[in-house]
Amino acid sequence: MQGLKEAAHTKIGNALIRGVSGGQKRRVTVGEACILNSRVLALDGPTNGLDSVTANAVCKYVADWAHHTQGIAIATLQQPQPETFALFDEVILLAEGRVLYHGPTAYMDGEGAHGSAETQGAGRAALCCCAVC
Amino acid sequence: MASGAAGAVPPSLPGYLASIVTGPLRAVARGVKGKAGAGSSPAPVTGPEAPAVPGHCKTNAAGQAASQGGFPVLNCISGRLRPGTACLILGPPGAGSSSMLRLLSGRLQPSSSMLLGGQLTYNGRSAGQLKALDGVELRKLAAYSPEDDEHEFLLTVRETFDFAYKAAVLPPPADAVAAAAAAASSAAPAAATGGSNAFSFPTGRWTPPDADVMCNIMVRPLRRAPVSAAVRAQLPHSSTCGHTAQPAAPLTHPAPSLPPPRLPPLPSRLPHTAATLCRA
Repeated sequence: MQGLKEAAHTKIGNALIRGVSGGQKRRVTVGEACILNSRVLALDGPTNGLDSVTANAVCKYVADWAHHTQGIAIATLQQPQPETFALFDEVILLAEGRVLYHGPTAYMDGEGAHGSAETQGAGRAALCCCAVC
Repeated sequence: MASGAAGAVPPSLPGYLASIVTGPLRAVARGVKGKAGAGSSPAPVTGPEAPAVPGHCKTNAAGQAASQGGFPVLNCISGRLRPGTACLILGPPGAGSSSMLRLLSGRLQPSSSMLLGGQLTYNGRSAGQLKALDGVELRKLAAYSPEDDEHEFLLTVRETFDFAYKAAVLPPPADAVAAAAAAASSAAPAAATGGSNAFSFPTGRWTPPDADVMCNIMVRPLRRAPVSAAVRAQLPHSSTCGHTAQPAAPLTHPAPSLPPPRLPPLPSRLPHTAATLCRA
């Protein structure tokens, strides 16, 4: 995991005991799920509280895991960067318990895979979410 | 569907998972008893912006949800997740994304506050079939990373990983296996395949997946607690979707011409260990 090498021998800590940072703690949580070496990896907000660069690295790690091991990685993200969005193969848009879209990320713009498809897709996804809200 | 795929599943199924297929899935939060969401599900509709949709209800402190028989958290979810793909779930807060993650990873169980209906299979097998036929527990087949960071605060990062690895992946100590076998000497198919940790790779090797085999999970309607007629009416009683106001469109995309999957060479050893996770 990105950035955990330096913190490998630091206590986790809590409110009273000084430990690793919040972002590192988040990555420890993700790593605990990864270390099970399961076939399905469900991550609930793995990038919450992370900066964009680290969030992108975590998502790339997860996506690479799925591609390498033929596993299924499912993650929920809040406000993914376009680069992070493009790391995923599929996207499921949910609103009020219903699926609005389930398909490849490259087709989110409705035009097919163009150069800025990911960027447009992320924007379209945000628009869809806002429209439903 | 499920039976045909299940016939092709070799005994070594625990080594891989080909895909997840979900039927018309529904998760309905029952009437709230004291607290909203009952801890196991996020409150789908909260705040003053909650839409006045028939069948939905606000989960306010007054507990009006109880009188209205709950609300759907996931409504007619269907789809298929293929192996080797990373799937992103997007949605506004309360859209059911967390519930969907818990459902797909086997953490969303029917309870006094949650009803489940529909079909969910892994490689053509339900969670019960996985346990009975393959000795695989769904909680081991699917890992789940919660939204909250809960750790033992006195352990270091490396020790946390080591503990998780030993607890979940490595086979249990021999005395623990013997004690468990003695305690539960009943017909336990898992015992024949090496105990509760049959789904593990103690040798550090894993089986390359067979992409042709499907995997399914079945979530049956809740039968534990008495269910009000209003909630029961919202659950699908058969393979057809329950609600009629908005018929469920086929949610699986029509398989457009996808780019070839990016598949690097398969590693021969476990991808994740404490050492690899602590490596920069």
